[in-house]
Amino acid sequence: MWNRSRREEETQARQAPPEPVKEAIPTSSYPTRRVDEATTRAAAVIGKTILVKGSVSGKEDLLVDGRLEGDVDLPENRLTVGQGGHIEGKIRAREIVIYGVVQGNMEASERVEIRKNAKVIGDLKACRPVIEDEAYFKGNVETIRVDPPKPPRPAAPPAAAPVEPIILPPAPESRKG
Amino acid sequence: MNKGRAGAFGPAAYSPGGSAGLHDQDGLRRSHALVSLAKHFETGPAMQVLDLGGLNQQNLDFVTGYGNRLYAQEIVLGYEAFFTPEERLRGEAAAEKIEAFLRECLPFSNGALGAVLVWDRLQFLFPAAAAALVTRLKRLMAPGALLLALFHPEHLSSTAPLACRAGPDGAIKATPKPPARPAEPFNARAIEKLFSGFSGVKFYMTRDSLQEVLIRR
Repeated sequence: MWNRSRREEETQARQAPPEPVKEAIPTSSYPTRRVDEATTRAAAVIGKTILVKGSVSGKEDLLVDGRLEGDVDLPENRLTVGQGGHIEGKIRAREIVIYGVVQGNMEASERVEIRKNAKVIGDLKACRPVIEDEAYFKGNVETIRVDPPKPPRPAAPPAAAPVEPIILPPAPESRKG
Repeated sequence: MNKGRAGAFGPAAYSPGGSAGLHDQDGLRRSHALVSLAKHFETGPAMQVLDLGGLNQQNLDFVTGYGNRLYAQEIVLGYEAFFTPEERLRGEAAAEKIEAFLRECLPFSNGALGAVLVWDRLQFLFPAAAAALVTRLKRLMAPGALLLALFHPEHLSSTAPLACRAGPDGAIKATPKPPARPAEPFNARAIEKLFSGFSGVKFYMTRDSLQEVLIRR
C-alpha cells in the first residue's frame, strides 16, 4: 500500500509541468540608493526597569520607557518617551513624541507631540508643536519659523545698449620732493 | 516678522458665513475682547504671552501665529498642589507662602509680559491669592499690555473652570473642564476694585451671563 501510494506520487510528480525557469535579475554594478536605516530600523529602547544617569546621544531613534536622568541629543532622529518613560534633562532631537513625563527644555528641528496624559515641565522650541487635550504642560512654547525656499531670481534683463568702456587718462606722475 | 492669522476649531465648528451667529453653540461665542487682543498682537511687536488656563493647540496656534512666545500653565492645578485643602477652605495662607506660589507660577522679569490670558481662573483662587496674583501681574506686564479675564455669574458658588480655545474672527470656544470647584463670586464693582491699579478696565456685555473683561496695563 505504501509502495503504491509512493509510486502514484512519483507519477504525479513526473506529470506535473516543469517549473518555468526564472530569468536571472540582472544586477547592476552601479551603487543603488540606500534606504535610510533610521526609518526602517526599530528604535533603541531604554526599558521599563532601566535607569540611566548621564547624557545620551546617537544617530538612531530612541524609545525611553524607563528613567533617564541626563540630556538627550539625537539631532537627526526621533525620541519617543513612552507612557512609563521619565526624562529629567535637556532634549534635542529631530522629532519628540511624549506619552510620559519630561522635566527639561526641549528643542526639535521638526515636531514635538505632547500626547494625552503626558506631563511636560520645561520650555519647548519646535517647528510644529502639537499638544493633545488632557496633556499637562508648564513652560514656554516657541515656534521655529522655517521660511519657504525663495524662488530663484529671474535673470537680469540684458542691457539695452553695450556699455562703452571708460578710458581713464593716465595718472600724472607724482612729483618727487 | 510674520504676523499671520492662526487658530481653528476644525471645519465642522464653523458655518461657511464666518463667525457670525456663533454664540452658545457648543460653547462657541464671539468675543469682542479677543478681537481687541488679536489687534494688539497684529499691531505690536512679538511679545511674551502668558496663558493661565493651561495649554491647548488652538491657543498655541493663535498666539504663536502672530510670532509671539507663549508661556502656558494651568494655574488652578498649581494652586491646588501648592496650598493645603485647609488653606484653600479657610481662604487664607501666610503671605510668604502666597509669595512663594507667585514666584513659582510667574517666572518673569518686570514688564516682560505683552498679554495675559487669565480666562476665569481668578475665581478659583481664594481672594487673597487672586488679589496678590493681579498685583504681581501688573508688575510683570509691560505698559499697554492687555489682560483678558472671564467671570462666571455671581450666583454660582461652584463651577468647573472653562477650557477656552481662541479661534479665528474673535471666536472663543469655552467648555467646562470638570470637576467643578468652589468659585469666588465677583460682581462688576469687585472686578473694578480688583483691577483698580490698571489704566483701563473694559467690560464686554454678552448674551450669556459670562462676563468678559479686558484690562489694559
